[in-house]
Amino acid sequence: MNLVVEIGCEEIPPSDVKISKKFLSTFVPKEIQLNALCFQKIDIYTTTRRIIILIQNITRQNSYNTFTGPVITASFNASFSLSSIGFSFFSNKQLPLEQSFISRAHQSFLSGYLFFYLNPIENTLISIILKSLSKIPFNSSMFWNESKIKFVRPIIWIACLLNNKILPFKFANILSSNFSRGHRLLSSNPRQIKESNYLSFLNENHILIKSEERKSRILSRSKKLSRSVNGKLSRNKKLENILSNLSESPWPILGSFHKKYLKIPHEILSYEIELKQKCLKIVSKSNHLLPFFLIISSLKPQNTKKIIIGYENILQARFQDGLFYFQEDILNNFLITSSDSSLQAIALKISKEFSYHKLNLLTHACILCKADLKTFIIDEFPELQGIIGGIYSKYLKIHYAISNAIYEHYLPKFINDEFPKTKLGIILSLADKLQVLYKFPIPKTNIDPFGVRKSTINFIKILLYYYVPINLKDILEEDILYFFLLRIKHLLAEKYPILLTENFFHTQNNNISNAFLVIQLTLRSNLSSLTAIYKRIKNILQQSILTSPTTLNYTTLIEKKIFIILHKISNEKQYDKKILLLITLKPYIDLFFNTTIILAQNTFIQRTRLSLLMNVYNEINNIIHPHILK
Amino acid sequence: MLTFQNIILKLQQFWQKQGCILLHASDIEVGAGTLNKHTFLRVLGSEPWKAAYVEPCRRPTDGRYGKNQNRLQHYYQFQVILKPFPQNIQDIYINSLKNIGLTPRLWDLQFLEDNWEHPALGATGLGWEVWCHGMEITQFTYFQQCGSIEINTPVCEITYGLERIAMCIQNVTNIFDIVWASSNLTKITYGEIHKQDEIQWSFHNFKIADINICFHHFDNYKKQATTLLENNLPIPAYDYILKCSHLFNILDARKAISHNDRHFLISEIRHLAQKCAEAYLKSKQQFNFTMEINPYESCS
Repeated sequence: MNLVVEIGCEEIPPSDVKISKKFLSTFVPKEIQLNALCFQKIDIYTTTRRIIILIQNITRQNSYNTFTGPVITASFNASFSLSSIGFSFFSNKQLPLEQSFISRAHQSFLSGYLFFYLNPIENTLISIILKSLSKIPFNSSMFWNESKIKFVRPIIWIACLLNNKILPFKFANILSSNFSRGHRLLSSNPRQIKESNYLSFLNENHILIKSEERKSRILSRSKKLSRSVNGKLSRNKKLENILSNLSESPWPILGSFHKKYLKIPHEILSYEIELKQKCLKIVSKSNHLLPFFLIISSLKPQNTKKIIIGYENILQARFQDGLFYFQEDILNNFLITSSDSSLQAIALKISKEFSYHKLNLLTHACILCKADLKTFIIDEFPELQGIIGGIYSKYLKIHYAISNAIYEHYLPKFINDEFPKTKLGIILSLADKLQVLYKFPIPKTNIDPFGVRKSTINFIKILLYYYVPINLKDILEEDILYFFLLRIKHLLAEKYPILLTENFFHTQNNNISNAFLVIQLTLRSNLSSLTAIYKRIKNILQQSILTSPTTLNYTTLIEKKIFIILHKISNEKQYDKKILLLITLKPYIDLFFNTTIILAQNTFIQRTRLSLLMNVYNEINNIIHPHILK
Repeated sequence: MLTFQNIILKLQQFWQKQGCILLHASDIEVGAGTLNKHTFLRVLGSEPWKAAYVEPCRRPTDGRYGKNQNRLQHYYQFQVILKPFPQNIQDIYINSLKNIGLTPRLWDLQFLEDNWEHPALGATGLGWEVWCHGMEITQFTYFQQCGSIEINTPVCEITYGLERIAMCIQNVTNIFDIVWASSNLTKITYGEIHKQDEIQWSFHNFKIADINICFHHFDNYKKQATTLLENNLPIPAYDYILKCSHLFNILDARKAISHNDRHFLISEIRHLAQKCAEAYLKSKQQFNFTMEINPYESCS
């Protein structure tokens, strides 16, 4: 039996097109297997107007499916009835408790059986379809009728055929049928389809169901058009992905604009072309912007000229706007700023930690760094914060160090973003983030309207990145200090799974600068190699018979060196220094493995070496949480 | 060729046939048709509501001294509000475009995700910008929240950008060249009616408007709105909130609001709008929704 499911929707946002495909590609096969069905092939396709599930040769694999649950002892209570653990197994797996399962001890585990012989394959498929549709994790969903079922956008039609026969079901009050629709711009009338001709129906109606095919059409034709004007396509993978999910039959067309607009900062032009107009840029071979762009039409047009004129007009108006913003900002807005003395005070404090003495530059940078917030261009493109400040200050011939610092002080903006590079940029960036901490209340819940958490985390990240031996106690107040420590803890737990947490904070509370030192050094040290050593030692120890040596018989210099460092580690009371010592031990261990036969023939030597490894193993275990080493 | 006024007439006729009552614009400056009480307040509650009206909108920061070919600080929206909305609302919308000469096959229509929000009034929605040849001609929104209150009855709002539609239909590249009305011998353009307004108001918005006076009025209107709400009069209170919102927009155009103050002022207006929406909903509940007109009965 072959199944065709098509959910016809009002335009699904590109990101949700991607999400639904990713989700259904894993969820549907899993559900089918759980329901003891087998299939030859499953294809999931998503476009901006439809979600398609195609399954070939579905058959019932078994008459039942087995699910293994918790151990028997936990599954039953003293009166031999199901315990809460046993019950939750059935409810989690959605196994019908009363009718269609039996449970029995099977190799000491509780087993649940789901029988299908009473349930026709059609019913199973319907329940899989309904479950799959209701579980797609869209970015945002809405309800649109009395069913109150939420979906990414209103569903208009559902076509569902099992071997050319309608598989009848209702989802969000829409009854499945054998009707589909073609491309939005061609016809909105429902058209009857058959399972056997479904793909050719889509093809005839200009629907490219594979996103790769849509993307490939965009790229190949865009490259060809770019070559026709002696340029090359400026790749923007994010935009290309959006465009390939924006229409069902994309078609690139070449447009152009007047050269005079190239005098506007290219960052602004790029934002207008790519972000606002969803067009692709064309650049010269030396990567300079050319006065051409690529429109991605939703269908191969009958009248290309009209579309080109439309886009060119709107882009020209946008560029005029860009020019207006640029001129107004430069003349009126950018330099009219109020000096923020609190930022300056913080920056001056931090500058001492960096031994930075060009205080006039720092003060000027503090005054100008938020000047771009008052510009028109930032009202229009908030994403240009920092970038435009840097551009404007360069244009106004302000010291290059200040221009760079203005650009850098917003960094890092997102995960894996770059860090500020110049000293002035680092100081300004740290001061800016710290000011947020001072100025706004520390969030007590998940709601963080002023981005206090984000600022704190970025502050920590910059310190970690550069290893700044900053004495935070001088800068942070008591209540902020505690919040700060919590953020470090979370950051470590989420982002850098390196250090143990609780012990670390107990020992480090009094010395935060050392805490940073430890984190920094540990991050920079190669944890994977330390873990490899740990595992290697563990393997050797597991395979060996350990007996305590009566006397230690170190025969090589390297063994003695390791012994000395181990001794230092065990005597060291400060946790950070312990870590440092452990890191210094690493090359010696490597050398020890490379040059020494651990399981030496001489039993005394062998015992001594194994004992030495045992000590190393114990110390690593003491310092770094075993969970992290796993 | 359809003139600007004929486009309005055709849209009015079309939506009247769909059961909408034809209403009129707000007599207070608003930034969008959504802010008219016929939308903002009427979407609250479960009773049906179908209305259409032309709304003159003011967005001071969008002024360009009449120099930009498609950007204005004062322009017109055609607003349609449907609660609840029919299943085939997108098809109906496309038919409304066909009705004024925008045939989908010939015009590259695209629905681009645009989840609309108006932070100051606590209004949000899911939907699209509808593009025609790269130009946004309509905002199509399913309301999710209004006055920070969750919308429980599905509401669809369709906001046509009349000037942009006219530019497409009349095939003009400059907004001021749009033909507003014509007869056999004469025609009058959009520019003749509005260009001077654009120039003068741009000066007002960007350079002349007195910041102190604006702040002073803002505080007074806020006080008045608060007093009205305390007296359980949400409808007049809403007018004063709109006045606050417009003054905020002027102050914004004058770059008189700092980054942090911006958040603060927006949250103040939002707070008032929320109180107003709550009070309005409460007053409707008190009357058991009998104060409402049933649009299905009122339209033949």
